Amino acid sequence: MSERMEKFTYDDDIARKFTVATVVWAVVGMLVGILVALQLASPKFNLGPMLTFGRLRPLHTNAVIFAFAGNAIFAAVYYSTQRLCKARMFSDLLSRVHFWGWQGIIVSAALTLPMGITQSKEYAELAWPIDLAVAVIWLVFAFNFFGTLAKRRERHLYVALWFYIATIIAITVLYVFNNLALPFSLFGSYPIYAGVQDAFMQWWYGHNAVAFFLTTPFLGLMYYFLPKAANRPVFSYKLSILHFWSLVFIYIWAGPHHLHYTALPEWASTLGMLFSVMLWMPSWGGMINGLLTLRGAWNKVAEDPVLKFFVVGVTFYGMSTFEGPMLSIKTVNSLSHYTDWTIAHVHSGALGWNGFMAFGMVYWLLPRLFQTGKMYSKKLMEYHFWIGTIGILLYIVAIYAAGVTQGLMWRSFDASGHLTYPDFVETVMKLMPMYWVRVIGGLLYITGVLLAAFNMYKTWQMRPAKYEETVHEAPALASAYQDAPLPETRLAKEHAAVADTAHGLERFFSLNWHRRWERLPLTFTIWVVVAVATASLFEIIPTFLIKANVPIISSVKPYTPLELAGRDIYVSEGCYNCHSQMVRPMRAETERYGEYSKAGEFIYDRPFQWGSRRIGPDLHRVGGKYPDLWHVRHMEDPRSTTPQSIMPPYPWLLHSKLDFDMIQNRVDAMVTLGVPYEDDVKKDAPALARAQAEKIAEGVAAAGGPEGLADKKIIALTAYLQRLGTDIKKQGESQTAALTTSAK
Amino acid sequence: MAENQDTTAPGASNDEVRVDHGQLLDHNYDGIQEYDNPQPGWWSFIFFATFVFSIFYFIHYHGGGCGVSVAEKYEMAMAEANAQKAEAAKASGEVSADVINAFMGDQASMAQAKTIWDGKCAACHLPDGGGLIGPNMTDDYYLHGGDAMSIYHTIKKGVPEKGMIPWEGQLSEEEMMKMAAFVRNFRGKTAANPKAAEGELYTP
Repeated sequence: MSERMEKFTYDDDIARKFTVATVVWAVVGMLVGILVALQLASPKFNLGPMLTFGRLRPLHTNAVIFAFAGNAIFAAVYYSTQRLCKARMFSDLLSRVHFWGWQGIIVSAALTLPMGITQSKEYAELAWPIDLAVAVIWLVFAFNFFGTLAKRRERHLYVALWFYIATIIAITVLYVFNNLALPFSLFGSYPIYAGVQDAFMQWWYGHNAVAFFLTTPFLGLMYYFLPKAANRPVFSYKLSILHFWSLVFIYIWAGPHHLHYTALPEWASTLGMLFSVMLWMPSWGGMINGLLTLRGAWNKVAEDPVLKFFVVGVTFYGMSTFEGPMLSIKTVNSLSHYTDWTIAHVHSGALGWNGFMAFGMVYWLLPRLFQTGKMYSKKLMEYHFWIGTIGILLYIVAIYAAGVTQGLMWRSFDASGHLTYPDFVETVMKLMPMYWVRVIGGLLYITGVLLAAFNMYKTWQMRPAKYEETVHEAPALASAYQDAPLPETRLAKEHAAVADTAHGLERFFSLNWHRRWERLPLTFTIWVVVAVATASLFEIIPTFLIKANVPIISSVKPYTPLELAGRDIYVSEGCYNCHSQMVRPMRAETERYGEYSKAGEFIYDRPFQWGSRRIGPDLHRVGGKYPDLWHVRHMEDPRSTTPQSIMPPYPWLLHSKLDFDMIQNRVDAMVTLGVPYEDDVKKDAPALARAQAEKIAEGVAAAGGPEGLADKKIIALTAYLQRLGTDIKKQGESQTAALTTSAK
Repeated sequence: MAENQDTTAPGASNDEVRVDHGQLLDHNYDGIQEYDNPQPGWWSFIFFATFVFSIFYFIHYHGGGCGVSVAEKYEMAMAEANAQKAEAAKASGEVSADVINAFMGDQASMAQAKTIWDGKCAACHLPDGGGLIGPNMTDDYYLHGGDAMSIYHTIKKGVPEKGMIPWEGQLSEEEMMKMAAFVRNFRGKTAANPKAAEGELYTP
């Protein structure tokens, strides 16, 4: 200890800001959750154009993921990184830019999503200007974080920091590549990928948003706050190394399991499944290290609500990371996909793992950040814990039941070989009691969160007049450093007469070499990049380069200008939140919807609209199934054509005018992206759109429908719906046969 | 290191605990220490097993193994289903105008048909058959023929270009015959708000 000691303080104000924001956004995000849950239980809760399920569901997911979980992550990172590095954050200014920038992004998301401004890619809905802001703020965060690592006074990086590094690197890569798009207006854009490739990129991103936004940073959070709260050493350093690297490397491959039985090439889907299965133990490594760290501290769990939250949080992590690999097995997925099973799965993760870890952390942090020594009320924390736990259980049990029920009803055949429930809405009606139970579960959960908010407010009132700033002391890192010698291997000790490779292997599996990486953040980060990039490229490059992945269907043509405009309305209303456009090659699906979907049918789909949940029926073969007038009536009031339907009504589509002039911008952007439009379309797309709209509107009026719809949005949407999935029917029989065999 | 002194040395003071904790490493991060425990054996074993499983699975389906592709599996399931349907069609007896006409007077059959009508047909043809999106059923005019077998055929195969759904996938032969009978019964009834006549006059 002869080195020069340096004095420094920690920036707790920034951790305070992020912690308070966590609780505030939790309330907001979950309130929207309650509203969308009510909308599914009764369509009456669709309260006008900006507040339909299709527009609010993305707001709910974005608010909970990026606002609630996001702020929790940043609170954890800013509090723990400074202490693990024995250094104040690199720049207080960057910390504030990060905080206010992030809140600004959340607010702009909360405004634009209800306005129907969306890219329609799940968890990547935000429009391109907001995407740019996210990228800038994320880089500010990254710069601030790595700057802090650079000026640290602790030689080695603790495992929590490894997970933060992985988060920052992977999210940067994922976010940028999934959001690459060509703008055609201030808020509108088309992705540079189409159809199968767009779907692949989206779920490569979507799954890894779960991996690197809801898993790795929360594991980092766990590794800091759980041993702190329990005052116990971490169970196994070796397990930390093993599960960290296997998790980072394997997670990236798993995305295609969201696209089983779709038009995605089968090899990619298989890879997605297998890597998900292999992901089971790497995930459980985190759970084991969390739970076994509590060995000898279980008596504390009974007394300390913080530890209770952590124990249940980690347990839910274990449950969902067992369930994840199971759901990715193709046979299981054929039942679970498109049903509420997936919804139950993500909520056991989000409410149990993310929610409870976040609240455990918040309760541990608040007395320290507000310097009150303790929370205002321990009893309220206990109530929060128990009410929240019951809320989660009610929610997931009901929704698991709903998922399995509907999945089984969809595939049920009677003795004569007909679908037992050919009417889709019958399978929806069956779920209604479960949907109400979900509302109750959600209300209980948010009650707990409101207790937390109240408790936080009262604790804040107990704060001292002026926060004390503790001055810490530590020596700066000396530039010269000698690693401790690696312990002798067992083989060497025994002078075993084995090949050099055996010695090498033992040295490798002893993991002692890893200690050196931990003091070299740059090397460490580069290896994370290598792990993430290698795995990504192994899947991405073949998906884009192998022509056979998307066999060409010559009769598939670009959308007409009017259909394109209609498609953008479909996207903007968030129809994909309830309707898939992907008939899977299964008897129960082709009987219900028609021929199964082929990769070549989606080459002009930007963005792809395959969907992930069928709250309503699949729409890929809806083209030509009903008359135009049916669509007009159905959109105006779904209950007029299907009395039990839970779809929101869209009467304003019959009054609101279509912006025909904008269509040229849309078409031009598509042309830039390589869509082969004819010259007349390139020259005057609005005129063509008007002509097509006139014709459809005349037909609707002639059939007894409303007059004067030609310039209304409903006609464009109808045109699009009537085109869906019809091109393939225009080709000869022989061609279809050839396709069926080449599609595998 | 001054800031670490406030944390009690974990593992040492827990006298009530009798777990073998393994050896503590000399790591100390803001008071957090780590044990030198190995990963559990079962963890390594399952991890390894999932690797082995994956290799064999991939070879089975994509590396020249005997795994059947999704498309092939689908074709097999459809062949089986078609055989089952043919069997069921044989069992359901003959389809003829006589059978349909007999259903017209059968109360139980017509009650069953009414349920199907309200659930599936009324959206376009209205509950009283007056027609809305689809044509009026109560007048004497028919677009695709008004005799029993023509109506049966229209129900079965649909008129997809006009929006009439082919119902053969959803209804059994017997149900489609009952529906044809039910439609025939509409003729001559009074609808609240009848749609204008379409198609050709049909005289039995």
